[in-house]
Amino acid sequence: MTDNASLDTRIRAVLAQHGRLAQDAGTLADSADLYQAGLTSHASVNVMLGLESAFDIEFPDQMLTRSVFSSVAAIRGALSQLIPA
Amino acid sequence: MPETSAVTALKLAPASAGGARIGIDLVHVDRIAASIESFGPRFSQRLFAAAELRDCTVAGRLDPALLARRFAAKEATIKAFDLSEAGIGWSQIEMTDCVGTSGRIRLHGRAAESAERFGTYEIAVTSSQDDGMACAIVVALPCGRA
Repeated sequence: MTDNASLDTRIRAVLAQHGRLAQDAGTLADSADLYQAGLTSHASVNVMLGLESAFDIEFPDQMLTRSVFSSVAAIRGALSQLIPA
Repeated sequence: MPETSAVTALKLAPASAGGARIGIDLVHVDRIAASIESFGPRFSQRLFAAAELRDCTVAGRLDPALLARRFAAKEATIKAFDLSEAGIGWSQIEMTDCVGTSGRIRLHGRAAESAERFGTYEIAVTSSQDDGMACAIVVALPCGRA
């Protein structure tokens, strides 16, 4: 089972690698707006693909919304629906 | 003296009014190339329709600049029709009928259903690139009510 702390660490690692954020992904607040932090539409695609690789999942089309990738908390919420408990 | 500039006088039609819609997007070509390098077919096949990939293949290789133009066109379409929360795959927005730098946008599946709430549109796109950046502008004009 993946706990929240471990999930957060892995999400932030993907953001650091693919998000091209203007801020350190490791210190962003859970609810900080990633688009305000510099996430572009193209970078969000890379983040999505990076998350899929990291967690061996696939985001269905209906989850491909701007809000799903808007914060660490939002990504964690989406992943919790895709990662088997 | 009251301000009477054109800007303050401008009245935007409500989103549901069926008026013209416009969107623009700008993409770094080298970042598209990096995505192809990092993710391979997962990137290209997830984002682009088969015909788009065929159109963007030059000498047997995907051309990042051509893909960047199409990616910008998709994002411009998303902006034009407020589709960012619609939950659609990028391949449901397809750039077709390309002649030079111009073309049309064809919507499929949920993207088409979501855009149809505004009415029926002809969607034109033009794209350009310079100094490592690709840009696309989408203009959608109503062609009748559904």
